[in-house]
Amino acid sequence: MYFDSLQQLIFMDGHGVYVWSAFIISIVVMVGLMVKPLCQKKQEFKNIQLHIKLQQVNQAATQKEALDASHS
Amino acid sequence: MNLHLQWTWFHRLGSPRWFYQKTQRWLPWLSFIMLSLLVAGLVWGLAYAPPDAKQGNSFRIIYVHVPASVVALAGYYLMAIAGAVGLIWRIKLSYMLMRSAAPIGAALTFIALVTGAIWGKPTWGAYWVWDARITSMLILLFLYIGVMALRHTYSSHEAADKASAILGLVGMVNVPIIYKSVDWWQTLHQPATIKFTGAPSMHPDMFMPLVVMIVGFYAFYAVSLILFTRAEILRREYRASWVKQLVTDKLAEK
Repeated sequence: MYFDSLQQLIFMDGHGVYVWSAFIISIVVMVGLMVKPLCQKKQEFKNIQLHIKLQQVNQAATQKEALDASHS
Repeated sequence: MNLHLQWTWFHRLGSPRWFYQKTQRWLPWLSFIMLSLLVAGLVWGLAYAPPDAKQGNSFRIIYVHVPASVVALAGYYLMAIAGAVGLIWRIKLSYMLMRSAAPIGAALTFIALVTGAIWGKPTWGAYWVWDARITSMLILLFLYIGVMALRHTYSSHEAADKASAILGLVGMVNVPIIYKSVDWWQTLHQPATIKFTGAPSMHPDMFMPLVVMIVGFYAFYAVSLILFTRAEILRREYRASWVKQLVTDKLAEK
């Protein structure tokens, strides 16, 4: 390691605050770019599940209507 | 025969289903490569590279600033070309890629601008300067945001995709301006560290971690683009039978 101690690595001769803030902001944004699409995917799965259920309910309703009509 | 084979390959590549299934297998490998490179580059650049003779330790910001800028610019080309492919061949997947590339490019341009501003303070004494390179990067951010915003201005997907693709193509003019801005104008921003022609203006001890970080950022871009595109595929193809099957299978697994 270039630095003699962990404190020196954090302080970086007075430049630590600039260097570390730049890296932390970058990491936060990059983690966000991974998490956001994964959340979107989860949401889409829920939406599609709902869509499938609605379709099944609709189908059942039309079948019942057709059955009722044939009886009457 | 050969030509026919080439075209089936081309169409398969344009199929959202093919992309979704293939990337499922690619993702673990790509993520592993991405993480290894980024962790190695980060530790190398932050702790092991020697400090700059003039800038001291503040130069270490280069290990996120340059990779983010390089990939933000390359990503713009990818987005614009994906838009052009969508306009010419009407391939659905290419529009999905264009849509997914916009937020990633915007975020990377944001990283480049913010880390540049932080680097500017100890080096130039100011967070922000209206220098040619910085201003043209700010325009790049606005172009990315424009492509993102155009999605919501039309009620139909198709019209919004076409408008975004056209904006993306027109904005391509800005990319060579950004590359050349440090040569065309006498500005505060230092000239390019890495050149396509000629040796880099850095010692190998400093240059090697930068190369690792750039490759790591490209891997990150690939992973993020795949993740965004997969979510976009589900959003647009929710009526397709294979998507419904996928969701039902997932439900059954639980």
